[in-house]
Amino acid sequence: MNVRSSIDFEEKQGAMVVRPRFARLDAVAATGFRGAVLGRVAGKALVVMVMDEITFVDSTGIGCLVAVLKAIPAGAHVRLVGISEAVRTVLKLTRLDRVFRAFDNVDAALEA
Amino acid sequence: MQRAQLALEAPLVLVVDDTPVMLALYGHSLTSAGYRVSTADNGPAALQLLEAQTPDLIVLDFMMPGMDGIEVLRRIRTDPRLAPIPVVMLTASGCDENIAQAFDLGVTDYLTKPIDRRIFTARVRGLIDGRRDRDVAVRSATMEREHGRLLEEVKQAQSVQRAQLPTTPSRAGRWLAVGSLVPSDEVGGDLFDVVEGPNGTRTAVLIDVSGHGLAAAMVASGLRGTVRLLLRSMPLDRVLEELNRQLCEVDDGHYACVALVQLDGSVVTVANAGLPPVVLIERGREFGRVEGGGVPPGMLPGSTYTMETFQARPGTRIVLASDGLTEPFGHADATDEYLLRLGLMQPWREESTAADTLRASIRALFSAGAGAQTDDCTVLALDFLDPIRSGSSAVEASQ
Repeated sequence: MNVRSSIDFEEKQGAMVVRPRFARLDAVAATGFRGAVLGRVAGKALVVMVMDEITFVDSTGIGCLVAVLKAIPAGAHVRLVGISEAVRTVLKLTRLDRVFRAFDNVDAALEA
Repeated sequence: MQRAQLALEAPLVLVVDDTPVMLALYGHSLTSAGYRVSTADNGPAALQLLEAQTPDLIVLDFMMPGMDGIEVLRRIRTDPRLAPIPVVMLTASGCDENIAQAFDLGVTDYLTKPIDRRIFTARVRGLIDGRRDRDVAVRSATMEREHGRLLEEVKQAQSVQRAQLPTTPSRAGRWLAVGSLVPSDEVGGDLFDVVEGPNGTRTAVLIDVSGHGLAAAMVASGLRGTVRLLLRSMPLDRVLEELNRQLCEVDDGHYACVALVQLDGSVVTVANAGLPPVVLIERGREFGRVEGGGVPPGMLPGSTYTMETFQARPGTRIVLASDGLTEPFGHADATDEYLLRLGLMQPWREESTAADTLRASIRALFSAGAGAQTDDCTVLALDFLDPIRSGSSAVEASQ
């Protein structure tokens, strides 16, 4: 699978909506993910990451989300949509649930 | 498209002969056999072609006006780029002296005129295939050597990493520590440690660096040394803050989930940054847990951390584990399954073999339905013994 070509991007209300179209955000997908996403989100005040197709995130995958956060200006936000319970648990364990707020849908994430 | 691609990949033969008819004949034979062909009808033209191309084989007529085949061969063999190319010399029959001269200059083979077309094509094929086979063999041998070297380096790294683990069971005061690390690869980013501190304190450390393999192992090894140093002079929350500062400064994409459990007599202080909950067990039941108290060091600059302190009682067991033991059961904080399956809810049956038993139990987890092991599995159990059982306060490490 070509990770880079499996990610959709959409500019919406000034935010960048990023939608990975694969199931595993892990060490295998990380390089392609970073290469595809970090440049596209630079400078954005809000990034909405739609993760409803992602069923597994390992430590490297979490690192990718943090890399997205570091790629945007200070004070900008990364919001998550459609995260699985497993991903929610990892975010809670790592206290990243306070950093990456989760929403049920893109509109809610854009309007928060 | 496919034919064009095949044509691009076919070996290239340069044919040099001053006789147009023979040039056409050789060219046709080779093209029919699937080769790409370029031609020259004299020595200087051949050398000019060779400036721009590197054929897989050169067919060279001996007798040519002006610059003959011997001179062309001499120039080919003195050019480092062209020297390895096989050269077949075409000679008239009865010219043994020509053949000897050509071999002295490094010709690969010769054919005597008149040349049978089939023999010509077969000889060309044999030389080109032989050269490719040799090239493949050389490349394979090089790759095999390199592979062997890398495997050896990984094995050595594995030995280094194993040597850094403390020997358990180990006792200090009334505390018994039993730990085990079962990596998913030869080396990985998990490790545990037990650090002696000032005034008889001891700190249990469990580190899980993000990622896998050698890179994660290197980071973990460095962190072990850093944690040992920092524990000499800082409380646990400050240790984590400093680890975070250092890792964020390096910013190579690695971060570390860390749990620190400091034992000072019966007083226990826990700081957990990103690992599954540190579980407190008494009389076969969980009576408390310490969840993550901060973002794992290396993620976000300026992170702060919390600690929790409680009093241990005889029979208290504190368990730290990496998420390799929780993720297989559905969630990163799913502690019940591994605690039960590794027998951690009950006292050790035999202290001296507890670490071996723990290791075997971890391995058995993955052969008994938890799926394949995809992450390092590390667990460290700290038992606060009653005064009678703890015996001498000297540190003992079992053999």
